[in-house]
Amino acid sequence: MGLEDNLPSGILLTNLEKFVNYSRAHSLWPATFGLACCAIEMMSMGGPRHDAARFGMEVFRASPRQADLMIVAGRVSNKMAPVLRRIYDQMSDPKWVLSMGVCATSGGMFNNYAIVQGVDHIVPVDMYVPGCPPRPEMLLDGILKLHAKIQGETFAEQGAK
Amino acid sequence: MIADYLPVLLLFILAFGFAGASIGVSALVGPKRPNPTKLDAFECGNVPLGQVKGTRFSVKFYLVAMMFLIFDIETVFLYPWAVAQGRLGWFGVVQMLLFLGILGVAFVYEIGRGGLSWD
Amino acid sequence: MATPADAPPPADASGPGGDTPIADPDEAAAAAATPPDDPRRPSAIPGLEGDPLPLEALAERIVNGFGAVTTDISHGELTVQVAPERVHALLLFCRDDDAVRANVLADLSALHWPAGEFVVERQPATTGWPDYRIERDRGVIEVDYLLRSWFRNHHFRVSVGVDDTEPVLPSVTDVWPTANFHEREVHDMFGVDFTGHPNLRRILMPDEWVGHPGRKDYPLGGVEIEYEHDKFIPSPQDRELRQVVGGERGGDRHE
Repeated sequence: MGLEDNLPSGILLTNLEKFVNYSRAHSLWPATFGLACCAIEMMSMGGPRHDAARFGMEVFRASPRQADLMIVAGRVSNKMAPVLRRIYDQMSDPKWVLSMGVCATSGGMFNNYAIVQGVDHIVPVDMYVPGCPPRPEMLLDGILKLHAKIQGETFAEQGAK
Repeated sequence: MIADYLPVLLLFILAFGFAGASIGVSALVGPKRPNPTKLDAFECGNVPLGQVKGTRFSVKFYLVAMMFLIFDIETVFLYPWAVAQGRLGWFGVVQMLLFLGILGVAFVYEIGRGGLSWD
Repeated sequence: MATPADAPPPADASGPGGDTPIADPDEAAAAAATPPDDPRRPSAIPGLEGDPLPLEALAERIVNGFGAVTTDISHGELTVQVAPERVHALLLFCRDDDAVRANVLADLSALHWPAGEFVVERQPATTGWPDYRIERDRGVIEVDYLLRSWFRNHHFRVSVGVDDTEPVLPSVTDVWPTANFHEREVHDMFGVDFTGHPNLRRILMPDEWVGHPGRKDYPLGGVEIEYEHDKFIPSPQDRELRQVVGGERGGDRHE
């Protein structure tokens, strides 16, 4: 039925939106899309020292159907691009994309024919985290900013994506 | 006497109710944005090759299922017998031993014919 | 490939084919480890049993055994140059000949020498190396086979040049099966057509890509970036930041 998509926007539902956004933001489950070196830093972020689970990212789901957040960690080659798009399409709504590292953000140091110059050519990105690779603390900072962004979303914005 | 089982009924209602409500509410309220890729099978991002309807399974699975069914029903009969054994006495023991013996013959036959080896 | 069943009775201290025991225990163990008729056992060819043939001797062996190849030894490496029609026969010879015995194709790669005049720029202002120009009238794709012999303990290179307008070479997957992927890569990157290859398709680029990126006339791709390499860039403290948060050095950004 998709009630959520058809709800009117405005001040009528702000409290409900706040509640829904709070639960969504604080239980984001990432989909593993570690492609290259940034994946190592993403793994450290999930490790015990920089624990991602304390922010709700309890488990990195391998299946996109069970994931909310796709962290594109690493360089996306032209051959990998359709695979990335397919995995993004197979994630269930609501979904967000975080582009980790400079290669996912803009092609990074690989300014050539083989690497897609920024993953936003393929999927809509909500948060860009620069770095080569970004330290796990930087990635956590990006994720917390994404939490703040999700808190501020309305139902209509999520539906428009 | 049936009133003794009222808490069990309440537990069932709560369990099914919670599960049903979770699924029902997310089905009702959740966003519905299907696209052809989303409805397709997951093959790690590749276009899925191979049929879903026409996939064939090895007949070994069928064999295992049949064997399980037979001996599971035997076990199902064992449970009420075990509960009521106190009142049945020697008669019950001999009856059950006969039952188990008949099925034991079947068991030995199965082992002998290699039904328990996977390959 | 010797299975354990092929090994002779262990710790038999007699030498190869003889009854007199070998005094030295290491030698005895080595002799006992390979049976007398094992083809991998070092033979009577001089320079073997661990010592590699000197490159000149190896080159001579190839020229004498196969003929009509040019050899070049420089920087401690032997390169054998052959015409494209004879490369398959040469590689078979290198694999099967007893002295050369190159049982491993370590790498198969290619190089494009384009036709035309080029000035090689080497930033003389910063490096001090002068620019130089090269001219070629015929473009060549040089395909190199790096061969290595475990049993004779040497390695060398076989190099063949094909015309870059219609590069065709015979496939060597029947000689060394590892060439399968390497030839696919050379085909993808340079456009060389390997006849007789079981599965010649693109391996690195997407299947429907047009062009061969390994060639020198293929554009680098990517986006235009403007960078003046002799412009002075001040340190972060002295730069104009769009938004200075906290103190001089960017401050503590905890919220």
